[in-house]
Amino acid sequence: MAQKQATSQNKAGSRKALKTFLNKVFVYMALFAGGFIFLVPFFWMVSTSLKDSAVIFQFPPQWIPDPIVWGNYVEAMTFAPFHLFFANSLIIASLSMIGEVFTGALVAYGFAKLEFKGKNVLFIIVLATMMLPGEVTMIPVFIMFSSIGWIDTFLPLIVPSYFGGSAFFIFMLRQFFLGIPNELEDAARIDGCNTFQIFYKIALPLSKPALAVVAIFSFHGKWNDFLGPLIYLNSMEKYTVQLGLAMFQGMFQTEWSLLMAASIVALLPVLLIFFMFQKYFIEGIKLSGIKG
Amino acid sequence: MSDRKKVLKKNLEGYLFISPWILGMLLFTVGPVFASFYISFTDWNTFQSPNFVGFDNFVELSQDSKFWQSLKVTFTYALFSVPLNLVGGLLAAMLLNQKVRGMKIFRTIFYLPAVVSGVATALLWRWIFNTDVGLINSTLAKIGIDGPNWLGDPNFVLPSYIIMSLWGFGNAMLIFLAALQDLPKQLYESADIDGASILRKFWHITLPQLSPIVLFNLIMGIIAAMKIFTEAYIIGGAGDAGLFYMLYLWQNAFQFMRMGYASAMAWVFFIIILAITLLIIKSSPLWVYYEGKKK
Amino acid sequence: MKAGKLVSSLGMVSLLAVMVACNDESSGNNAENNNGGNNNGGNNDEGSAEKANIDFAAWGGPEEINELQELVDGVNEKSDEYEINLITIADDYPTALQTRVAGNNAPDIFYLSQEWVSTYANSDVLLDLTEYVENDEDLELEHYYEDTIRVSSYDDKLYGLPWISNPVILYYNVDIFDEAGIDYPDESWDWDQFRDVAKELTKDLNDDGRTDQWGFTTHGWPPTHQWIWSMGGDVVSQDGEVLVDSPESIEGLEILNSILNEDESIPASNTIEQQGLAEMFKAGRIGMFMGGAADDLDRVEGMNVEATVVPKGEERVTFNWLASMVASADTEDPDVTYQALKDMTEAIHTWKIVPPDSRLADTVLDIEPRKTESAAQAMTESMEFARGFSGHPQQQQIDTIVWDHLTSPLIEGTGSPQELAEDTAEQLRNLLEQE
Repeated sequence: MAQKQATSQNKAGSRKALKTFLNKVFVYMALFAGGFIFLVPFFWMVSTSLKDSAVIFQFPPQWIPDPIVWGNYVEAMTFAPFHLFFANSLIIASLSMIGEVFTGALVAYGFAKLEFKGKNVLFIIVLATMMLPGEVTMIPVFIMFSSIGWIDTFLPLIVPSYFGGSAFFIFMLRQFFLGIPNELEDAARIDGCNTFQIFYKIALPLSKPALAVVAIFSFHGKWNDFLGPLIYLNSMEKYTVQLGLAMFQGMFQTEWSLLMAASIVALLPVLLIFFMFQKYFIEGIKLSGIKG
Repeated sequence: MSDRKKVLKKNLEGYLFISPWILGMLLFTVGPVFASFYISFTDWNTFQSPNFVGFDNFVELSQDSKFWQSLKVTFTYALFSVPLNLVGGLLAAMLLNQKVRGMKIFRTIFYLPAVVSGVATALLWRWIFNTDVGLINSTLAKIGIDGPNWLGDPNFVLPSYIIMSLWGFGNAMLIFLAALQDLPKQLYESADIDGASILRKFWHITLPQLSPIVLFNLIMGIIAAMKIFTEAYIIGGAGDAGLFYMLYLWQNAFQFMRMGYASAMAWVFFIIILAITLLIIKSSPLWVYYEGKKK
Repeated sequence: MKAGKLVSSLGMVSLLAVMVACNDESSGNNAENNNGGNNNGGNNDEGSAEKANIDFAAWGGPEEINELQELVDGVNEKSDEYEINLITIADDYPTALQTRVAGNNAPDIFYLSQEWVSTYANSDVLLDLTEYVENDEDLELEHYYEDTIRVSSYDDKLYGLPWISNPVILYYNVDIFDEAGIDYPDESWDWDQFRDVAKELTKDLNDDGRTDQWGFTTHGWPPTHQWIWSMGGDVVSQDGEVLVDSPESIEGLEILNSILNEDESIPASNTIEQQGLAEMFKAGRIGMFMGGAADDLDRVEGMNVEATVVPKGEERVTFNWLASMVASADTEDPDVTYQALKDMTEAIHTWKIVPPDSRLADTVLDIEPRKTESAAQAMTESMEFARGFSGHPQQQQIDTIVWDHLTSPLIEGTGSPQELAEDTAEQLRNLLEQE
């Protein structure tokens, strides 16, 4: 009897090991398949960016360009003062990101965890602000910023980020905050924390993955913003990377290799930010000790 | 502290937290929103003083075949692209949540498509969808299928855009991934002890726990899909078959200088989206589960 | 100013009142507040000899912008009345400009391409230059090519001075012609001859069953008008009559349709989309190309390209891509603005080809030495019969209809010229009757 049980346990153990192994194989297969699908277009971009314009439309296409024209990158970057554009974009995107993450979290916490009159209606208004197409408010907004002399400055592109950021982030962070168990906050309150301290010392640290997502999205969004800089910036030395790219496109409509080179350089900072903030994607921060 | 004082303090605290948004709303949003509302009842061409025309714009809209066409195109697109993106994003996030080596690299690769934008994407898609030498058709040719003229044939324009929309699933994926970090491991451990299958665990633990985020991604997905503009603007496509709502609105506002008409379109759009969102939110108590609200 | 009225009528006042508090504006015009930037310190003092600030909005690539800035500096140096401040717009110029004008922040002078002049003029946002020009003894309008002035006018009033004109000319690849032993195109050519040669030049050079050299290429460029006009037709006449379904127009469309769908002398539609219209010519795979005067088609390394005027139909005519320099009706001191507009435009005439001033006909090669002599000559000749769009306040709607209902279906081959012309005409009449 006892022996029988032991063998069956053994069997179960090896079955489990096999299952984990198969599971891993499956995961890797899926990862490689997905990775392949997403890398092919990117590889094509890189390959295009390194091609001589004469071979760009060759059929069948060359995957590894011959010759490899590194000079495309030099040409693309020296065609306009891209170093200036990068600096401008960095200033706008990082200052906005800071504002959107902090004020966005503050407002979202208010909507998620605090009780006050008119909360639900106000929250619907938050959502509603995303539903009216910006095209029809663009001119009134422009009139407003121009009447306070903000044209040709970075202010219209940065300052609004410090007023709750975008509704997208408020909504998203609210959903995350709602998932934080109330027991945690109650405990902190008993320890004498006030609401702001609870927000700052408990809710924020517990939501690092979500805040990292907001940071990535915010940076990404501002970095890629085209219409804002286009209507508010007047002088070339204040241009952002996206405006530089647009100028580029206007000039070299079909110089695909140069366009790709410029586009790839332009997306590197966003990838870098993604890589940097990825480290906050660590499992199980908030659950230590409270649940179960 | 008396009860009334307590309530007052609670209210005050709440307003204090959301005060940045309230201020921003009053400073930057309210004015332009009311302005556009008023404009929708005028014939404003953006340059001359607007004349009040009552409901003329809305009446004209109801008789404008292009308006209905754009509504149809946009709804069809959203109907397919939203669920696809939601499911795709969730599956990818679960895959990327596995603990295997090199995950950081894989995550970056999976997010890569979301980072590529603007002109580069347009060129990319033109290559992928090209009838003769495009990625899809040359792959199809290898297995003996004659691929269609994706962006040129009215029947294939919408499918092309739906395929393109999958390219942007990285954002939903990232949010799901962040949410997956928060799932209580204990639940899975006790389910393992009970010998629950993967499917069962997904259905009874993962999905309910993720439901607030599903709600978020669903609503945002709908808004984003209905607002599709940039792709359509840059790539274009077979006339009316690719006439998305925002494209037609933009044409009216900035090409035809009919800002009054465009504003009317915007407010109709607003009402539609608001109704859909409210419907979803009203239904949410049935399927959304909030940890923090558990008593 | 109108937009200002709008603002107040929209209940934004209360909102603005808060913000305007930190803005010490005395005049209603805000444009002046934003010029700081590059100017030397002296300008902002309230000295008596203060120069007027003129904002000048322009499009262009970085290199062009730098060259233009040099021109602006030169013009500024000569004047003690004004200081021009260059505003550059990276892309999507119409939207960005429209926002600025609607937002009560119109530049004092700005580039405006031909398809927008009537629209802007009709909305009263442009300064009427007629009297200024009449009173100006230094400016003689008769030296400008007539059609360029027509395009800068609306309702018998002059709203701008043309600063660039770009007639379509016929470029050809000399080597391809030599190889085929065919005589080069010249001004005697008509459409029949053109089509015959285009067919002859279309070849499968390496015998792999795929055509790899074509006689001609077109894909919405040059505009469909090119063919319609050459047979004596028009899309919409200058006084708003829809003519696109007239026999003459249809005759022109038949020619275009044959080229697009029957002759097999141009590459397939999606090959062009993929590889680029002009790019294929530059890659040496196209015999003849109708390009603008400023195109760089005749300076491709290792390629021998010459040019002549386009083939003639019933009439000799070619499409002219034009842009004017216009002034805002809101500008503070119109006299000074006019002076700046004129000086700036004349400076540009020494920089961009083709100058719309007939006295400068011989200067094309001085301005752009990279042009071939035959191209320079073809351009100068073409200026005599080159023609811009009719110019209608609803030009954008007209163009959209023509593209959706005429040009695009013609390219795709989904209808006969007769049917498409009738459909287009009906759409256009509906549009123009609405007014």
